[in-house]
Amino acid sequence: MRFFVSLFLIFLLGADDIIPNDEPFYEFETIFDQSGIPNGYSAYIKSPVCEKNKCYEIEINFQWDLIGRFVEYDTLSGKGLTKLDHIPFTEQDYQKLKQLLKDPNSPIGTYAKEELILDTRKSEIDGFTGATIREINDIVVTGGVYSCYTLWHLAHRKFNDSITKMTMGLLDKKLMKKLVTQKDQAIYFFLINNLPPSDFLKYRDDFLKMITPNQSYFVKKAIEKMPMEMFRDSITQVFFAKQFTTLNYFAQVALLKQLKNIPLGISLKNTLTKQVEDRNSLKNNLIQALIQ
Amino acid sequence: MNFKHSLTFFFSAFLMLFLWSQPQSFLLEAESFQDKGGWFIDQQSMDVMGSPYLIAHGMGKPVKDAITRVKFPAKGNYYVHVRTRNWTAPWSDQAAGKFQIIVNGQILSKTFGQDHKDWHWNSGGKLKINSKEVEISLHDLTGFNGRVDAIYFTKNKNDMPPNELAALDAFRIKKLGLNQNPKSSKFDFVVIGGGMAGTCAAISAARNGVKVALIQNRPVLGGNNSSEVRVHLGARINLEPYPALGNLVNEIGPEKGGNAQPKDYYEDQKKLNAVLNEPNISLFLNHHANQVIMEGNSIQKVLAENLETGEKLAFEAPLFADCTGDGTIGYLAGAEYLIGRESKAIFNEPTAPEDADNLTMGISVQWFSEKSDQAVLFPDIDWGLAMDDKTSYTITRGDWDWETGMGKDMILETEFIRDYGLLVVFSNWSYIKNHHAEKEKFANEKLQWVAYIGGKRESRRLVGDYILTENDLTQQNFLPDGTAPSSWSVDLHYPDLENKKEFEGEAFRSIAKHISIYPYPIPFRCLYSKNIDNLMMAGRDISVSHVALGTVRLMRTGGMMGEVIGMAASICKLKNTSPRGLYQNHFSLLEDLMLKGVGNPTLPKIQNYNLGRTLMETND
Repeated sequence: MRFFVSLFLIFLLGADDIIPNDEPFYEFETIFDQSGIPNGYSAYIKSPVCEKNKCYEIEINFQWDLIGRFVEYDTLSGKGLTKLDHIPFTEQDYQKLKQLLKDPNSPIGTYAKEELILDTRKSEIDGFTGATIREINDIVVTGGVYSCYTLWHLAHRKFNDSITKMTMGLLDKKLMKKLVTQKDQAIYFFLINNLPPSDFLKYRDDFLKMITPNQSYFVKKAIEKMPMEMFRDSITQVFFAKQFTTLNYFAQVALLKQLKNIPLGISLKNTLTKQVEDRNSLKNNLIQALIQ
Repeated sequence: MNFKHSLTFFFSAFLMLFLWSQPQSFLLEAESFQDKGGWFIDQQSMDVMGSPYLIAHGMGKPVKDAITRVKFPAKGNYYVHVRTRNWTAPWSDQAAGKFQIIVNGQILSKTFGQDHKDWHWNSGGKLKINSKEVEISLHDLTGFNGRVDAIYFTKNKNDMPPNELAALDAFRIKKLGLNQNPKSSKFDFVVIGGGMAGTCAAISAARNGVKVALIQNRPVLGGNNSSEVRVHLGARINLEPYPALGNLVNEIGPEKGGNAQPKDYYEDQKKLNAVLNEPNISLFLNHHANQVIMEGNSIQKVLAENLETGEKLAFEAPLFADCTGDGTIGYLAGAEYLIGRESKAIFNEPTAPEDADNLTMGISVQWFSEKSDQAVLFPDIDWGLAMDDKTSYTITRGDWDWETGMGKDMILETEFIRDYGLLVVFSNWSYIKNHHAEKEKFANEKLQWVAYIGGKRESRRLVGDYILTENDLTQQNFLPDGTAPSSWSVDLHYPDLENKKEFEGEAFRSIAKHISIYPYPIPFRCLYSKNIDNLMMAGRDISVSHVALGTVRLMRTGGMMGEVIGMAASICKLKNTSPRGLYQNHFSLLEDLMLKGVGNPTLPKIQNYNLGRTLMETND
């Protein structure tokens, strides 16, 4: 069961008269799991949807996970969504919106608001002024392109930095453990990209649990982000001595580069000595320089 | 015999000898015409039909005459033979590409382009030549791809030019006096193929201190990304594990994306300028490499033919790169290669078919129309495919999914496959302009551009020391010699079954099936031949399975392969070694260069189109 606690953060950027500045009003709440560890965020949003000087309001509840991935939306009782001419969304429209909001890579994210309408290409047979551009026509609600655009950007763009700050502000050992246990590479990248260098050793044991095989370039990136004191740490060195052969070549090279000027413990030195090959490579050169 | 008789006899004998020794015939290659008017040189099938030819690609409007002035050996009566064909014969009783020949203002009575299905010498009758300087014109009648390879004039009625290819080749060499053993020019590195891969390979090598010859069989660089084919670049650059790879692709690639767009989208000049700015590159446009001279398992020389004159040039180097897309150089050198689809058992690939077959991806003849201010007519053709309101396509642009030849031989049937591409575009356009219930919607649409150079996706794949497979990609089997990362999904094309059914088993529309992957660094061992010691590859003809080709075939990826083999060429030169020697003994030098990159790193990253989806982490 999820429950809401008191308001975690309230941003009040908009005023009652929302039309002139085109900015939404929103209130964030942190969602906690049964153990009282943060699980995500919920926000009530009231946003204007404007085309030129014509505006109307939408009110909606959004939910994100801890790294800012959109989870779902709820409409407010008695406040269904409408299109520009106050035409209410149909059930089909809601389904389409749901599909759209589920896609963080939607092409709608690549267009400026001004580009959504008015296909000026002469060649378009059914193109006429006021039509939605064909690249997104199939993925937005008919007649509701600005609502869709506004909601998608609120769901996937607007609050990324705020959510990152909130989660890093909440981070402690319990939350770190929970995040790492989820075995989700997007979370892993969130952590290595946002953890301050001074905090790596503090979370060492959980951090090293993220270092597993077959993760594309994640391990290479993680190693490159790790501060020097991590590599001086004997437990970290023993970890890499055991894991070295499971890492892909590029992660190995990244590690060897980081170990330059670091005194090596016996276990890591032994592992590396066994890795020397006949074939010339950067890896081989780096190992030889380290074990000399 | 008295003296007078003797004199008459000797004089007559001398005259006969003189006349006999004078050339009695004259071979005129169409591609050598001085003014080509609206005709284009087409070399796409020259390895199969024997020569480049001229094609009247007028999209339904007869093109301007091609005109040339030639010196005849002598005045007199000549029999005329024209090597041409009826390109629509495989599908229709009617001929699309008809043309006439005009000699000194006199139109030959014969109309050409409507007889033989295959390339053939057609008799054009007899004509009298009254002057030694003769003007000859090719007069297109239809604007629908009439084609002519050569015209032969002979005084001898029985002097028939040969149709058989080997004999024809010998005939050409003799009649044109072509030198088959030209003097070699020496280079450090010869790159054959001026698409994105070859262009990047040449620039990369040149910037790393290598003297390069770049040979391209078209008048422009860029290949599928040139304005002749108009496929936009695809896939990603500047990725792990070598983020500097792709800087050169970024430097020379077009700013705008989109398939089948106006010519300026493809920025041919930008690519050409990039090459011309390199003092270490000698560029040979309009030259088709079609012969190799071997020394053991190494290529000693590559010979390339000038598309207009037929003259050959020889290129000698310690190292070559096959960036031809067709693996032409590797094939000529005897390199091992793969073609078609491998069976599941060969590489244990989940996506491979149970049994091997010849299904390759096809060739795209793209096209688009533009709206005019007034109604524009298009011929109601009688040689096209039968269409109706249901089977025709009421659209104004033919994108990548206009694709022909899936299941045909990508080398031997190139002309047929391209021609079918033309046939379906014209059939469809003619139908919707003249017959469709909604034809009024298209009244002002003008067919603006149709490719006559087909955009090829797949051909021979030369085998290297490693063959990349689907499992390497999906299981992230990153190898220590990984180089340029391939990021596009495994994107394989198949015939659109509904379209195939509607058009008697010969589809011209395709579908694509995608399997997303993490960007995968292509092993260096896929970029050099297994059995030809001094041959590297970049582009779609590298050492991959059919399934793995689905991802590596994208042009930004090919461009990055070019960057890599250009760097490799500099190391081979420095260490006087082969690509395999580099892999074994000097690979760290290549790693250093890949980390450094070869393109200008300070340029803004402007190519944000057609990147494709990957499993890459969004925060990466």
